Order: sequence, then C-alpha cells, then structure tokens
Amino acid sequence: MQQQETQKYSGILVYGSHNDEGPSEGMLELLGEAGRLQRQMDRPCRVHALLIGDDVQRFAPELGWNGADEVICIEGEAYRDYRPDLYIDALEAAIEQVKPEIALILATVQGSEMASSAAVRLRTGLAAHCVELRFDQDAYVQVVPAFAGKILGDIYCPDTRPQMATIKKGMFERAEVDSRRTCRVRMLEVVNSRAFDPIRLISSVRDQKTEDVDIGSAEVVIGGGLGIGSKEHWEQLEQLASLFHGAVGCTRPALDQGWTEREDSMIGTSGAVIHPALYMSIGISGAAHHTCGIKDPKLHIAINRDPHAAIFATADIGVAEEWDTILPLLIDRLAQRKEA
Amino acid sequence: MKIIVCIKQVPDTNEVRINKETGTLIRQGVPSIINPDDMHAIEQALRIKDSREDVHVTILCMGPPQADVAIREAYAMGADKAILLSDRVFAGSDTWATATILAAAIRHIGEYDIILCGRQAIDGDTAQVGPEVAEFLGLPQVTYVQGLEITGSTVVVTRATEDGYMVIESPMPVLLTAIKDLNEPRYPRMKAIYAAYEEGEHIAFWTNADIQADLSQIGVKNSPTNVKKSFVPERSRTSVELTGAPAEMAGELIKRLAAMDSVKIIGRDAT
Repeated sequence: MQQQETQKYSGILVYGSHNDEGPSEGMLELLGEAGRLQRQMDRPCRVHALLIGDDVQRFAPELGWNGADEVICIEGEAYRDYRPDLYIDALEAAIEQVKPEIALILATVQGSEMASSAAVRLRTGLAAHCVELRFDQDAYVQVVPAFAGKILGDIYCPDTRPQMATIKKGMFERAEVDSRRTCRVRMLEVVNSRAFDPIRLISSVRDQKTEDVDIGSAEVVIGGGLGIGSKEHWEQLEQLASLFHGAVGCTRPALDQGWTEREDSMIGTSGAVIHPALYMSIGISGAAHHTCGIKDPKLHIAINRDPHAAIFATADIGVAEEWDTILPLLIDRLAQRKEA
Repeated sequence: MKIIVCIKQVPDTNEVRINKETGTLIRQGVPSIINPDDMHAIEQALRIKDSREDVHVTILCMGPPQADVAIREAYAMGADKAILLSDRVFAGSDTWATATILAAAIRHIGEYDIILCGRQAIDGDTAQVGPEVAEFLGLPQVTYVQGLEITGSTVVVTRATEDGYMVIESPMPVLLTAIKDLNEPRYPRMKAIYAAYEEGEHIAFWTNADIQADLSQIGVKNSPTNVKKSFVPERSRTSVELTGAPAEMAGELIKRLAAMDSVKIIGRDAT
C-alpha cells in the first residue's frame, strides 16, 4: 500500500444518521465511543460530527452536548433525501477537509455504502461492523466479527488514513449529556464532481411507526426462537413483554416461520444489537448469529428444553425446561404484581 | 444487454466450527456454497434474461481453484458464461484489494449494462465489496435491492431502508447489490450441470495475466487493512441452572426480576 503522510491526520470524524427530530441514538453512541478514544490518546484530538441533510444545523448543539467538539454541516435542499452519489461526495469532502486519523460511520443501509465508496476514493482501509475499538500501545485496533460472530479479528490499518470503521447501532454507549458543552459549527460547501445526473429518487416510503418499544433501546427484551413452535404461542411472548413495557425480539428462523412480521426485531449479525437490562431468551438454541447481537445485558435468563443448548453458555440463569410450562406461570404471577 | 454477476464461494456458516485454541476456522468437512445473497443476484440476472431476447449473463468469481464448483453451479442455473479468477497474487486481499481485482476483471470483460452482486457475504458480512467495485469503475450504485425493473435505458430499483423502502431510477451501466427479498433462486438444470463440466469457452479460468490488475494494489501486502490475529469471543458467563418444579422455578425467576433496579414490572393493570 502506498504510504500516506499519516501524521498529517488527526482527530476523529463521526457520521451517523438523524431524523426530523434530531440525531439518532446510534450517532450519539458513536460520539460516546469517540470520546472514549479521545481520552485514551496522548496527543491532541478533536471529535468532529458530520451532518448531511436539509436544515440540519439545528441539531449541532445536541451533538455538542454528546461529545462533539466541532459539527460539520453539509446542507441544502439537494440533501433532503438520500442519494448515494451526492452523499458519498459529501462524506468524501468532509474527510478531505478534516483529515481525521479515525472515522466512525454508523452501519445503516446508507452509511455502509457511503463508507465503502469513500474508502475507495480516499485509498484507505475500512473495517466492517466493529465490536470493539482500542489502542494497543500506539496502534489503533478495530475488532471485527467473522463467520457470524463465531470468531473475531484484530484489524490494523497501518499505512493509510483515516482508519475507517462501520459500527452497528447498539454496539457502544453514549456519553452522559452535558448541556453546558458547546461546539463549533462549520458549514461546508461541496462541489458534486461525480454526481450522476439521471439518478433520481422516485419515492420514499416509511413504514408506519408502531407503538411498540424500540428493541434497540428497550430495557427488557423477550427473545423467541424456533422452539416457540407457532404464531399462537408467539402471543405469549408479547404478553410477557407487555408486563415490563418491554420489546419482543426474534431469531432469523422464527422470522422465516412468519411468527412475527417485524423484521426489525431480529436480533443478531444481520439484525439489531440489543443491550437491555434484562434479556429472556425463550426457545432459542443460541447460534452465534443470534448471540452476537446481545450486548452485555445485566441479566440473561435462558429457557430451552435442551439442557445442552449453546444459549446456556451465554446466560446468567438457565432453565432447561419446556418453555410453555414456565411462561404461563410467569405471566400469571407477574400480571398480579404492581410496582410498589 | 450484458449482465455480470459477481459471486463468492463461502463455507456454510451454519456448519463452521472454530478451533478455540488457535481462533481459526476448521475447514475440514465444512461444505462450501455460493454465498446466499449472491444466489439472489444470479437469479435476478436470469430473470432479466428470461424476460427479453438480447441478454447475456456472465458469472464472475474470485477464489481458490476449488471455487470452480461455484461457477459451474451458477452456470448450470442458466448463465451464458462463468469465469473463475484465481491467482496466488490475489491471496489475502482485503475488500479494497478484492474490489480492485474484480474491477480489473470487469474492465477486461469490457461491455456491461448491469453488474449484480450479493449485498454481503456470510463469512465476513462486510457488505463492502459491491460498493467498492462500483466506485473503482466509476458507476452509480444502489445497494439492498429488493425489486428491479428495466425501463428503456434506465433501471427502476426498489431498495430496502431501515424503516421502509425507496424507489430510485438510475442510468445504466449501474451496479446493484441484491438482498433475500428480491427473488427465490432457481435450481440448476440437470442438462446444464453436465454442460458446466464440459470444457469450452463457457467455463473460463483467468489469472492476473488475463486481467492485468496492478500488482502494487492487490494481495495481502498491498491491502490497506490486515488481520493481525483472530480469536474466539469470550462469552461464557457463570450461569446458574435452576431446577425444581416449574412453579418453584417461576417463583425464583420472579424474585430475581423484582430485585433488578432497572427492570420495572408494571403488571397487567397498568398496561
């Protein structure tokens, strides 16, 4: 690899996502992680947050409260909806401007393709779906999963900058909000040299928001797998979850069976990462695809009739029993309780 | 219309076992398959071929010599030509270098209107190679494609998003990455399986001598990222196994739940 002058790069650039109300939880989590990395560095390092969209400058203060030292805004009507060509140009331009040594990009559908393309243009390395970031002496290490999380690898990017990573929502913790913190705002104009004119967005449809609790931020998650057995049985999971105002998650096989339609409730490598206080896995065997989406629950209770199921190795409390002998009892008794 | 489908042969993740001491894969006895998302890319190319007269589908796969099984299978599904890119100088390439090689091969093929890839491979799950190939070739790209229509000189593509979908129109040539919802892949035809194992121009084996990828940009030495070591994640917790009658176990669980500060039992009346 051609060596770049790596010492010319400094700071951390964070790119996440936002909606009409503000930056996403995932973006704030990346800022939290950027702050942790910043504190580990023995050289000056600023955290830059990037916003791309229409009228996004108004979100800058919130990014500051969550750890950004500077917010870079690329805004205008052209950015109202996502367009790969324009957004990739924007990310590239921001990186060229800031020259960060580290870039953290939220692994959304958009973020993943933007990061890949930008890495090619910037001739630098990109580590996918990192689960841990750290310094080993002076070297920056990005830990990535392979084979659905069955193994992890330490990725180094020694000769080129920025060292880029994509990270899934739910992987890291956000910093404590400090509303006295202020940040600089820098507006950036981008010349779209590579935009493909005829690309156009015909329509954009958002699924109707359900009243359900978001699985990524729920304190209590009830997960169901193939062992549940039918759509009728699945309702018991919903009942149990409602007693905690919790969310129901599923494994890929359960989703494929059609017991739930909520694809966004799938937990694991190709789905959501959860970090609840309480996770109850029910009828789940514990394949790595699934378990690598469970991030440090305070308590993990596993119920599975197979005493040798892999899920028990990741659980705090194991119940090797038919789930339908336990769950009705649990629902019944919990329903009678009320928070004191 | 010329379509190129990029595929990868991968170990079936469900069957993969790991050597816990060395943190490496036990390859022995693990079946190799065409990466699942790539199967949807192949199928979509074949559907376009079924729907019009002028379509030529080329399968392109980078991998070790034994990945010939993958290109033969893809050919037998109904492609016109299948190419295996195999060379020791490719070994150890990361996604950046892999995309460099694939882009060189695609340039060598020359003509193309649509390049289809799977969204991501089940071994690394990176979802990077498709977008990177598009970038090296200077093509527009749409990832996470769940629907596709060709209208004159453009494609109208439905792409999945986290909370819905977008419909995007793009000129050709274009690179698209396929997801599971796009279609249901077909099975290879018996007659075509035999043909896939016959010698001829339809099954080609290329090395770097054919595609002339820049040697200073590929392989393990020239990849921007490298893996220093791999290891098995430490997940084991000290777990307690409950025993006894179901009612006792339920009681014990409730005791544990009630003791948690961050878990609120709101009960039925409150919902």
